[in-house]
Amino acid sequence: MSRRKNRRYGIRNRTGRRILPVLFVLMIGCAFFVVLGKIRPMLPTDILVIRDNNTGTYIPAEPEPETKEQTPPDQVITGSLTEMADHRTSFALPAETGSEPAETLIDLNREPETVPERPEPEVPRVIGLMERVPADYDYTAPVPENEAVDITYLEDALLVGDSRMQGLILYCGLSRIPSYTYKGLTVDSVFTRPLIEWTEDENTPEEDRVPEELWSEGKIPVMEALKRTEFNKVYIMLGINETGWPEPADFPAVYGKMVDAIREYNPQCLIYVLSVFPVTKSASESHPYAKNDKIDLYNQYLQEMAAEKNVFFVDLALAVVNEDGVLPEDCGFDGIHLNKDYCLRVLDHIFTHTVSLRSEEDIRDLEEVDIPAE
Amino acid sequence: MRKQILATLTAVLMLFTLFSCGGKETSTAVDLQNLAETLLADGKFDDALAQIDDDTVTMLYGIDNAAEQVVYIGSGATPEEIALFSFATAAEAEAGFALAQMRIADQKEAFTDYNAWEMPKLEDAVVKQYGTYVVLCVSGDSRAEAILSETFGG
Repeated sequence: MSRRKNRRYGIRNRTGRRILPVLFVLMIGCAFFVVLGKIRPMLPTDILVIRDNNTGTYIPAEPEPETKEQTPPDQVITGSLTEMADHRTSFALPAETGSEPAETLIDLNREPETVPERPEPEVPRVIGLMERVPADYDYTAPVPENEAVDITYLEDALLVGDSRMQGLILYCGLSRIPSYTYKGLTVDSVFTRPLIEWTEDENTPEEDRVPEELWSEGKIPVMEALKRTEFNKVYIMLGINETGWPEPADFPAVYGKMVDAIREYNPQCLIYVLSVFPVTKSASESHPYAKNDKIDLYNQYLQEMAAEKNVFFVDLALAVVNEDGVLPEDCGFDGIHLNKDYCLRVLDHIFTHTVSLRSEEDIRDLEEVDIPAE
Repeated sequence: MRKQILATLTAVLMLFTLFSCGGKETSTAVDLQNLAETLLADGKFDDALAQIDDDTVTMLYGIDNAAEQVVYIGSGATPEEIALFSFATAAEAEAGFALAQMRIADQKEAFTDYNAWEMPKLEDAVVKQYGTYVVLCVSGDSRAEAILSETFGG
């Protein structure tokens, strides 16, 4: 068995070993109190001595008494204790030196002075899209050709339409753009037919909920869905199904009602009214109601309505018709619905016929000019 | 002892053979694009079908988990359509099959009072699941169904 080595080097005797920890603890304790400020270590300058010239010896120097600066009192409130306790009494302050001799009364019942609120920094007002339309824009004419935009232009748009709009969406990769479309959709069934699958948030206030009578199997009408959708632009492609209406004049009347409703829901949105593009010659001859002369009449109605209601009429016929002003026979299966190639031409036309808006800075500059000088 | 071992191995081998004969799961991969083009060429379609992108497929079918998908749709004048999906598992294919059936149901509702003469095509629509594959075809005759049956062996 190996002997255990004594690892305590230095102090070997028992007494030393007992004293060392004690000294260590005392040292730590003193350091602690110095840190706290309870005691101050003695410095060489604390011991001041002076040489007594008479005796030639050094004697401790007497510390000079500390002199405090006399600070005048801030306020001296005079009054009896009774008066001070009585909150209905005002107190007189002594007049300040150099100030007016008038007494300054303090009313203890007064309301504490309120710190005036800092005025909120002025936030520029939001300028709507319709405000940015040039003042001299000609609503009586179709939207002119402009610098081409791309699909990002439609990111804040809503697409509303019938089967022709469906074809445009499906063939042109517009499925990510919000849309309310249905085969056979018309300008009146957008108000009445429950076609759009909808889920209402249970936290929706009662006054904002879709009326019970408009629901059917989890679906609501297009206009109810539109009312609850955020968008800055709306493209409407309707009219071909309405060519079967017995009274053509009903078409612009009901279309106008739809436009008015959209304006009420979203006053600043840009409303693009897409024309009813024609059908082929053979379809016009064979179809019971989709005739090109009726389509021309409907487009005339739309253009007049656009001028009246400040909406933007886009003439799609320019993108697809032949020299006879009708759809070519190779445009699609039935002469009414477009194949993919022609849908892409329509989309290209939409992208090159958007309304050119003024910038927000231009609008604000004009507003500043209009502000009368004070 | 040797005979017992041999008998056991033979029985196991027979069991494996039995299992491999059952079920309709196809073990060979099917080229969906090639199949779609075959259907387009040999099936009876009045409309000009065009292929659509994956986002549009998801919008129409609600299917976003297919391993592969090839979908052709018509112009809107007809319900003619070819939709071929491949899934990772048979369970996913089963869910996709249900969504494909819903697509046909929605189309039937849409064409009830719109070009109603196209309704017979929807009534005869082919919607089937072959293991991890789901196929849908709306066309003018039964040639498409025959092509699909021959391809998937079902």
